[in-house]
This record gives sequence, C-alpha cells and structure tokens, in this order.
Amino acid sequence: MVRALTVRPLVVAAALAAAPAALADTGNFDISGKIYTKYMYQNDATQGCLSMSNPFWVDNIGGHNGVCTEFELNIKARVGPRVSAGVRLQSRWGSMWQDWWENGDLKPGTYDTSGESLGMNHAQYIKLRGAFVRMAPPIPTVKWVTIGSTDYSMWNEWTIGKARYIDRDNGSGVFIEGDVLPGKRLSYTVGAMALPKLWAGPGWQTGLRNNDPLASVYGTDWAFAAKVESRPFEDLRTKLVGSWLQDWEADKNSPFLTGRPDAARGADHSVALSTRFRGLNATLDATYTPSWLEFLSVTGLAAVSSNYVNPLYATNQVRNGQGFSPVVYKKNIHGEAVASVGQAHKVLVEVFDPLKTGLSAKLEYFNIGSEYNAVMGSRREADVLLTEGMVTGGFTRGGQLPTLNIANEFQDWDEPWYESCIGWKGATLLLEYVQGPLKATVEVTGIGYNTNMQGRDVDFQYPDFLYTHGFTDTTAFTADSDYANVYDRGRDPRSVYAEYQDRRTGLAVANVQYAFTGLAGLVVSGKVKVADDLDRRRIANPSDDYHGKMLMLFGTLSLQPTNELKTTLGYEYSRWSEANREGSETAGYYDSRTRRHTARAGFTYAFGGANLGYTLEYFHKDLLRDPRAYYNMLWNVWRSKATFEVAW
Amino acid sequence: MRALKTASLVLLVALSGCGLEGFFGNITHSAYDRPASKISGRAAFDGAKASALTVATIAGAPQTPFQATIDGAGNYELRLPSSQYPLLRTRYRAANADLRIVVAGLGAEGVAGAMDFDAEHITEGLIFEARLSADGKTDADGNITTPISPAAFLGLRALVRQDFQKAGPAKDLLEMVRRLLTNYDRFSLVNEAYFFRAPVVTKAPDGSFTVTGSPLDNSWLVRYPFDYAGLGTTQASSLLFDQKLAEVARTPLYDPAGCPDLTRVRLVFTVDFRAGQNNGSCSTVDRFKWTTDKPGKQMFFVGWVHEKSTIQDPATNTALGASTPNTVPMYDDGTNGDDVPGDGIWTVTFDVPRRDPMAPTDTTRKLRIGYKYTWGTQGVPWTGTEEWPGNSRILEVVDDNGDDIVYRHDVYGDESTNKDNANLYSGRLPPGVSFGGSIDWPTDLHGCGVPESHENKYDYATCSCGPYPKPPTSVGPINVACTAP
Repeated sequence: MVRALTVRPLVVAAALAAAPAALADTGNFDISGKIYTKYMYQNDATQGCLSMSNPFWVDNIGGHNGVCTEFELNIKARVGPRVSAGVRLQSRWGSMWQDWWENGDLKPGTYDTSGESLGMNHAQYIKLRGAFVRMAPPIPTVKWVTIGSTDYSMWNEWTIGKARYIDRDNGSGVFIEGDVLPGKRLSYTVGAMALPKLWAGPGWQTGLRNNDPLASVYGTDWAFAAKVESRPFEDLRTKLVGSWLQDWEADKNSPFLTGRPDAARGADHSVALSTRFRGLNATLDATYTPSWLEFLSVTGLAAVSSNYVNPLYATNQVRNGQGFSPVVYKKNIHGEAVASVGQAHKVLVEVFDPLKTGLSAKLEYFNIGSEYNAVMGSRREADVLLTEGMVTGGFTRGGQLPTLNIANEFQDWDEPWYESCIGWKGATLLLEYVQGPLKATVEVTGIGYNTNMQGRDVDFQYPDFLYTHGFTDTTAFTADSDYANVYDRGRDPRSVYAEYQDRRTGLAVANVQYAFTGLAGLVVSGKVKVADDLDRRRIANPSDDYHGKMLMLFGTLSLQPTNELKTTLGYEYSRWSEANREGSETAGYYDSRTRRHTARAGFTYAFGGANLGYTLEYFHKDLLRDPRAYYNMLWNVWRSKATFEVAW
Repeated sequence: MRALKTASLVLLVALSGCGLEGFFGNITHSAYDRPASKISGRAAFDGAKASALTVATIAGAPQTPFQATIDGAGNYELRLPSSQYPLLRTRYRAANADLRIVVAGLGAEGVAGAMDFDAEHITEGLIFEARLSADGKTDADGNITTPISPAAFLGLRALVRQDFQKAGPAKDLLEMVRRLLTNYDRFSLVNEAYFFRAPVVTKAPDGSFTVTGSPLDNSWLVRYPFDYAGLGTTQASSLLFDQKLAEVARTPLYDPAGCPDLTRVRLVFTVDFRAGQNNGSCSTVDRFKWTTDKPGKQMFFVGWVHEKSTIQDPATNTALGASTPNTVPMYDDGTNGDDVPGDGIWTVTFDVPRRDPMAPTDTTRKLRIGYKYTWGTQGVPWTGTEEWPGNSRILEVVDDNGDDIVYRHDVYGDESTNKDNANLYSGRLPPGVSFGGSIDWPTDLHGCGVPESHENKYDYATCSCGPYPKPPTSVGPINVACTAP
C-alpha cells in the first residue's frame, strides 16, 4: 500500500509532463485587480454605502452609514493576432464591514434572527459583470467584430448614449466596425444590442409582468443602431447615427395563446409579436474646422426622434403612475395612440484666442423640440449643452440631456446631477480668459421653452413628474425617505411638461481661478451664479406666476503641500427667492425662500498605487414658506465620504 | 461585383441573430383581432338611427361588447369577450320600435350570425317571453328568472320556425309582427317604444293564457289605428295581437324549459380557493402546501376519463383536459356559470355522456373520471401548480339527487375527501368502512350515504353531512326541446 502511494504521484507527474501543449500560456493573459473601499457617515438613522439607491423597488443597499469593500478582477486574453477576449469579475456591492455572517440567505415572510437575512446583495459574491470577444476577421471593409459586453459609447447622447458608469458592462450586443474608404473618408459601425429589461421603455421596463400587467416578455427586445462617419476633406467631419429600439410582446391575441390548439382556430403552434414600444432616433452632425482659420470651429447637429407606445401592452404611467414616465403617451384627435415625434437642432461656434490675448469665446444656439426624447440616450455622465443650466451649483456639477430617462440615482451626494433639456431653446455665450495663473469664464444664457403651452394634457399624455416648479435642491435630495418629495426639494430634474406653462429663464455664471506659485500649490477659485426663472403658468390667471431668483456664491481654496497630499476647503452660499412656488390653480400659490450654507473640507493622498480620499460636508438650510399653507423646514446635516482604492 | 458580395456578406452576418429573426418574422404581422364571441346580423330601418344596440343575458345582466359596429346598410356586429355565454338577448332601439331577439349557443370565439332583427326572430322571442311569463319565470321587467338551456331554446326555435311555414296561429302572429314592423315612425323620439314591450301573461287554472301586459302600446294604436291583423279592418287596440300571442304561447311543445337530455348530463365543478377553509378532516387547508402562488395565476381544471370507467369517450377526455394541466380554465368572474365574481370560488361546467355513446341502451355503464385543480397560468406544467403531486380526485358521474346536474364542490388542496391514494382523511370512519389511506369508488368515507366519489353531501363548514349543495344559480340542466307535451 505504501509503495502504491509513492508511485502514483510520480506516474501522474510524468503523464502531465508528457501531455502535449496543455500548459497555460500566461503570456497571453493580462490580469488586473482592484480593491475599492468606501466609508460613509451621516448624522441620520440610515445604514449602507450608497447615498441614493433606487427609491422604487425594494433595495437594501442604500444608506449613509457604513463601510463597504469590493474586489474587481479583469482578465484579458490575446487568443491570437486578430482575436482577443476579456471578462470582468467583481464582488457584489452592498455588504458592509459590519455585515458579519451574511451569506446570501433571504427568507421573506419569516421572522429571522440569524443575522443572515439580507440576501445576495450583502453576500459579496463574485459575479460575472462583463465578457467580450473582439476579432478582426478577413471580411472586406470589416475592421472589428465585437461580441459581448460594452458601454454603448460608440453612438451618442441623442440616440443610444454611453451607459452610466455602474452599467458600463451590463449591456451586451454584436458590433461590426469597418472602413469603406481609406483615410477615414467613409467608415461605419453597426450594432445590435439587447435591450435592458428594466429601464428602456414605458414604465422603465420592457416586459416585467410585476411592473406592468400588460407586458411579460423581454427576451425578444433589441436595439439596433448604425453609424456612418465621413471626413470628405480635412476640415470637415460628419457623422450620421440612427438607432431603433424595439420592444416586442407576444401578440396576446395569437390563436395559440387564446384557446385550444385547434387548427381550425388558426392556432399553428406559433406566436406572433406585437410592438409594445418603438423608439427611433437619428442625428446628423458635422464639425467644420477651417485650416485657413485655425481658431475657428463650427459644430452643428440636427436630430429627430419618434417614440411609439402601444397602449395594449404598456400601462399608461401618466395616468397610472402619477405622471412619472420616460415616454409620452401620445394620442391623436381620435384618441388613437400615435408616435410622439420631435426634432432638435444645435449650432456651436468656438473661437480659440483669435487675438492671442488669452480671450476665447463660444456661442451656442440650441432648439430642442418639445417632444424630442432619446429614451435610451445618455442618462447621466454626459452633457449636450454648453450652458451650466439650472441644476448645477458650486459643489454640484452636472449637465443637460435630451431625455426623460435621466437617472439621478445609484450615486452619492458628491456626484454630478443631470436635468432634462427637452424643449429648451435659446443661446449661450461663454467667454474665457486665460492669462498665466489666472483663468476666468463668464456665461450668459437665455432659455425659452418649446414646451410652453396652455392646457397641456398631463393626465393621459405628457408626464409632468409631479413637481414642475422650483429650483431643484440637489444637496438636500435623498431618494429613500424623500421619494415622494415630502421635504420639498423643488422641481424634478426630469420635469419638462406642465399643464400651464409660459416660461423663460435667464442665467449668468462667472468663474475665476488663480494658482499662486510658491505657496504650497495654493489655488483659489470662486464662482457666482444668478438665475431668473419666470413662468406665467396660466396666462389667464395673473396671480399664479412663478418667479424664482437664485444667487449662488462659491469659493474654494486648495493646497498641495506634498506630491502625495492635496487638501481642499470650500464654502457655498445659495439664496433662492421664489414667488408662487407651491400650490395649485384651484388652491392658489404660495411663496418660499431658501437659504443654504454648505462647507466642505477634504483631502486626497496618493501613494504607490494606493489612493485615499476624504470629504467632510456640513450644510445648513432654511426653507421658509408661507405659514398660511406650509410649515418651515430646517436642515443641519453632517456627512462624510472616504474612499480607498488600490489597483494592480 | 465585389461591393455586392461584401454587402451580401454583411447582410448575412447581420441576419444571423441579434433579434433580427423576430423582426423579419413579424414586420408584416398585423395584430390579431381580439378573440371574440360575435353576434351579427341586420337591423335595417331606413332612416331611423339606432339609439341603442345592446346585449344582455336573458336574466337581464348587461354584457359589454368591446366592439360594436353598425354600418350604413344596417349590418351590425357585436363583439363580446370570448367566452361561453348563456342565452342572450340583443336589443335594438330606434324611433318608436324596441326590438329584442334571443341569441342561443354563443360559445368561446363563436359566431351567432344572421341574428337579424326581423319578424321571425322577434316573433319567436315574443313567444318565448310570453310562455315564460305565463309559467311565472319572469320578473316585472321581463327578465327571466330561471336558467334556460340553449338547446331547449333552439328546439323551441325549430318548432316555431316549422309552424311559421304553415297556416295556423304561429304564422298569423308572425304576419301581425311583420305588419307592425312596417309601421315604425322614423322621426319618432318617444322615450318608451310603442312596440314590442316584454309581454306579461297570466295562466288560468284551466291552462288558458291571458296577456295582461301587451307588447304593444294601446295609446299609440288609438292614435294611429291600422290593420295589423290583416282582417281588412283597422285595429285601435292590441286585443287581437294579445289574443293571438296568448294562443300561440300556450302551445304545449313551446316549452322553453325543454325536457331533460337523456343522452348527456351537465357536470359542474366548483372549488373553494379562499384561505382558511376546512378540508374533509375538518382541519384548515394549506392552499400553498404544494402550490406556489405568483401574480397572474388563476384556477384551472384538469381531468381525464378514468381507466376504470366503463364509458370510454375520447371527446369527453379531450373536453376535460386530457390530463394536461393548466389548459381548461375555471371562472371566478361571474361568467360561464360562476355565481359571484371574485369570491374565490371557481367554476367550470362540462356536458358529458349520461350513457355510453357506443352502447346507448346499456344503463349500467358509468362515466368515471379522475381530476385535479391547478393554480397556474395557461399551459405551464404541473410542478408548483397542482393541488398535490401524484394521485388524483375521482368522480363517478351519477346524478344521485335527480336534478339532471352532477355537481361536485371541493376545497382546493383538500386531501381528505375523494383523493384516491395517499388520502389524508383523519376523521372517524363510519361502521363497516375500511380505510388504508386510499379510497375506492364505493367508499363512503364520511358516512353521508353516498360514495365519496359521487356528488358530495359533506359540508366543509359544519364538518358534517348535509343536503346536496345547490349548483350555481346560472347553471341549469341540459334540456332539449320536448318531443311530447
């Protein structure tokens, strides 16, 4: 027996040594890893590591107190000279350091004292997040074929936009890129993408039975897109992008589904598909940079959209969802469902320091139709307009996007905010002066609204997102307890339609930044923003006019005493005076005033591949409302966020 | 040529997946029409627009068509949600006329065509209403208060139509109706139509009929007398019409209730799906012991002709579901025999052979079936939807109480009554009954005097034997036209 045990490993080893070419060639592999840890504190009663998770479905990862860690492993393989592949594996976000023992158990409906009750969201399991194969087959004109996960960044914000960071490899599809003519004179990209079942369609889903009793099939839903790019001569670049979202449902009246499989009924063991939602978007844009006038650049874009919702398969969320909907449920005069069609145009002229004095200028004209809607356009982390817009502040960054499907969720309190610019028309002038350590910009923007209308149907057709007026307070915005806006945060950033609207907005922004030399990298910057927002609402009612005035002052001071350490200190003051902000046509409207002081202090420390960051914020807000109708509110909020990241 | 090849190759690649099959397979697809039970015919009254085109059960319950059309030529179509409908009455109201016709035998995705508002349909309907009124089976509004078998009505219609062809009172009445129909006033805007109202008829002890509520408006006839009787004299009252109607309605064979079908019997199942119900052992049933509950589920019946049945009928086996789960829906929406919508008691009915079709004179042969209830969605398999895995309920189709209906009422998930094997009955056994966890066809488990496999007399609420429960009120026996008075 002893002899056998001794001999057997030797035999196995010899066999392995003689095995032909079965050894892994690690030279073909590129493996990288990352550990990311986030710490959060806030003086409230929540726990978790995400300021704003989804407010709608049952979620147990959102909250403001806790520490969480995730691990990511990327493996890329070079299969051959023209074929590569890769995967990303990552642990599930949501488990806190305090979550000892959590193992994925979820026992709904039971009184569970085990401490193992939070389900897979807290189990830190490793999940396949993305997988792709990329190859360059010898097919004429074809450069690359990609099959698998991608972030859809090959299209644009007006059609199918780049997926937000957290969804960066949730999308999968098949893509073909190629050149028809050399020198980039004519190239193309086509793609077919699986539609996300949860957000790209009426009711923010494409066929989840529990979300919409009229729909139940999502595995047949795809988006298709094509892009043609051309640079006919050196100074001109043009791009044509078209996208088509197709949400199918099984035709509920297919004979095979509605009765016995009797051939006489026409039941032939097949089920036809009917359109639940169809979204078409197309853009043509061009950039002209004349070589004979190097400081000039002109960019233009024209876009069209058409979104059709079939009411037989999509519950009307304007009527049944309190006006929260990423699509318009358009009807014609006969009450029949028709496509909501819109157009958009934009021209940007940029002049880069023409006089060599450090002064540059940008002028943008924009005209976005009242029903232009890129349902699968960028939902955040992009910006289509030059203007600061309304939603940004001092600490708060952000942008404007031409969709009702904006996602200000799954984010922390220090991340950017986005607002819908559907219906905006106007112009922005931006002057920039750079001279040595000084950089200054001034922006002036005037906005009118194509959505201005009297008696718009916000009961059945146009979603108003319930909160149509008031400056949006992104600082005080929380998703968990304030989903119903009980804390009066103002306009929903997606709200572009109102029953009565006659609105115009003006805003001006000035930024200045000065970098001192020899003072430990001291940088001082300041910002002033003023806005005047007037909406006469119902023109026949002179006493319902909303008039909001904003003043925002902001300053920061940064020091970098060492190469590794950078510190920042900042303060923001916001004052909003808003006439007739809240109320209704029948009950009347009431004024409100807001004063908010926000202070932040923080640092970053980068050393040898490790990055540490910490931000502490305090904000004090007074919301003073008309005591005849509302009580006042007060915020004294401390919160902090730290991140620690190591990648290798 | 190369460009063509390239384009073809790219197209081929593009077609090979990515949802394009669905696109090309459905791009020309026009949405199927919603399955409907359709009633169509003509309602042609030159110049008079319909102020109402409605449909209701003969009991007066309105039915809502999801589509109602009437074209300029007077062709109408009513599309009701696809279902089994009892006898219906469609009503056409225009000018001074209010016309009703009876529609019989409208099934799921069925079509009742040629339901014209003509003299024949209207006359047969008046005879039908008058006879039921005389028999005390109508209320004050003319609604019929007893279930009438469509087969019985169709038999009545056949008899009446035969009599329309030959001289006699039926034909006389038909001609009167025909003349009356020519006297509508297209410009009339009367609130209550002059003709034809629901007749009210009384029956004397000697069997004679008297119309006490005429279908015709006498004040109208006084103002506009005409020769509706075809006697060459104008009539200023409804007297002759009423007399003729009474005479025709009392024709013995014109019995709308019909006579029992000697070849088939109505088989009715109801199952109680409410929480907290008792099983056959008088303990609370756990509905979801074996069944998974999910949104969108409903009750289905699944049955088959039992291997120990002396009647083996493939058509019956198919109708019962042929042991394929989740294909035969039950109803809790107030239709198809269900009494109360949404009360948690689901209903299904079948018409099954009373005798062996292959040996109709042999009265010893019985139909035996196995069955179960499933809580599922259309077409899904057994797992998670059946009352329990394996085994089945058994039923011998015998009309013990002689009401021409075999009615079985069950509680969902009950494993203590007519479940054949692994029966969990834990109550006291009646004398002489042996029980080893299985029942056989004659086993009288509860000692109610009838086998457990028959119509059940066991009362789940009181946990004791009771009278035979009454079948749903809208379910009647299978009656056919009488062939003798």
